[in-house]
Amino acid sequence: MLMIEETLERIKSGEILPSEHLEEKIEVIEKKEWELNAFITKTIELAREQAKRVDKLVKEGGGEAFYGLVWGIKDNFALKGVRMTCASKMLENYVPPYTATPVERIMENNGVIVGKLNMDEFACGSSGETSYFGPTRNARDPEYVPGGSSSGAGAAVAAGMVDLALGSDTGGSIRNPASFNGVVGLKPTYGLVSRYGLADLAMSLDVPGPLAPDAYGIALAMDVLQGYDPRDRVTTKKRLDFLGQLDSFDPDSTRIGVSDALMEGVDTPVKKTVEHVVTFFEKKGAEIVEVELPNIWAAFPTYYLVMYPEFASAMQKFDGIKYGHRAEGNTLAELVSRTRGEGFGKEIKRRIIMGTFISMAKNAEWYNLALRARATLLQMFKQAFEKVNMIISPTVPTLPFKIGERLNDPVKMYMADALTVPANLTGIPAISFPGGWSGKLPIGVQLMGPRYSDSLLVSAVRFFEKEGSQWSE
Amino acid sequence: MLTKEELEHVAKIARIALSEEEVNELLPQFNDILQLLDRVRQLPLAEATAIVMTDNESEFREDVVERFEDSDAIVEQFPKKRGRYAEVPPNL
Repeated sequence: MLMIEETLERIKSGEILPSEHLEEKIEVIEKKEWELNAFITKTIELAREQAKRVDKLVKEGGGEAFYGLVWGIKDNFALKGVRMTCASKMLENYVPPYTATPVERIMENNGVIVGKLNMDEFACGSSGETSYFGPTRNARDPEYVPGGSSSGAGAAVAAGMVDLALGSDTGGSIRNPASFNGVVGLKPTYGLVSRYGLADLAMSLDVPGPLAPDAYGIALAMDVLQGYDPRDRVTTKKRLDFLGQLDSFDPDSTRIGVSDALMEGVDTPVKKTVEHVVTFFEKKGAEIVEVELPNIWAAFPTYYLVMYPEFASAMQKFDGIKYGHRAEGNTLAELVSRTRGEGFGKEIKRRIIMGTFISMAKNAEWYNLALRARATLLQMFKQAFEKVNMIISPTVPTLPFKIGERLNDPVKMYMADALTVPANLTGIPAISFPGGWSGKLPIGVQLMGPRYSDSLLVSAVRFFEKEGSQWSE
Repeated sequence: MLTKEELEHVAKIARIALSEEEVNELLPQFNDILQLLDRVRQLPLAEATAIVMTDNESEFREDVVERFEDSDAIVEQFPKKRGRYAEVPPNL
């Protein structure tokens, strides 16, 4: 895995043309894709055209910001004219008539798009196994899951099939595969990146973000991806300076929060990795502060009580009439029910039915409680961030698990999200980066910060990459 | 706790046709999950109730019709169509 700065340097210095760089990546894809299944649709011809155009720009001294770096796009973002499946039978042949804002920004900034990446069906999963197109495998050990739902994104970046990948994060879908594949993944502050053209899972939680081999790649990507979009009313007009702040991390003026509540039930190697990273920052001069997060356990039930109804509502558009899979029926109701019964996988049905159940008037108490719980969690984090600049935790409480191990046990599968969902519920940024290894399996460490501290978090990871070392056993 | 009849009713209003096998598989899973989610009741709630996720002022879009430039690409996606109309069975 070549670091992003090195690749950029090779292109900028004229050592290699964007087209030649693309061919190198295609070679890696050809060599590894049969085993990893990271792509749903490859767009090799489109990529070659784009790269040729960037060749010309680079020769003329242009090509900013990506200079032909190769991107993979999670298959729940629209790219006009290219099939977008959301890894579902429901959208097996859907071709969107427009392009998502983040994808448009990547192309405008001379990123080259080599394909649409595998994922859990409609981004519902933590293992990459619920895809209609078959599971993706972990790039470090194919016996293991790559994490999810941005499974193809994590695997493709780790395997060097792409330089950068665009993912989406509703409850950990960027950070979880980043952790399991040993790459960096940022879930930005809610509203920092436009969701226009992203198939929604839960609108109050969804946020697009990048996966990259290193913090530099994340910063480079975020300077392009962030920004106000009139087509997504939650996007902020604030801008952060990711590359500008990348090397400005100052441990002496940083207070890092730790909490026993975030270490409960965590696997030993994961725990040791987090402790190793905490010790590193402490030795460099950061102040380590105990923070009280007594109610963090409540994030898990709250997340599911909020997400299920939003998801059920988001999925109502799939009816077999406007686009996607269609089953026949004698009445409209029959057609719609059969279409959805055939077109959706198990986890999707589970979530829609659950969301419908929670949305019923007689169950309103649950949903109301969840909304108040969400406000309670927001307040808890707000108080914590009055004392510290960031909070450190594992990204996932366990090591990657084997393919098939948890697929029929949804409760156990959901547990993988316990430490990632708080950031989505509260809208704060969180980043996962490789802090250690258990044999071949990478271990991700998570930093969470207050809203708009995204660039600070990226700079902290950069500092660790430059000055620190990964834990291993 | 969710009963089998209730599950079948919810699936019906969610417009998802389920097989007998699926109902039998989903029912215990739902009850496991609901039990877990019910723990939210144990949370001591703060007084705060506001969930502010964006710092934008609430604003409405200009009420202006914008024409989508490529309506053919939309029509193209209808799974079943007659001319430029999506075809549906009688809605009774």
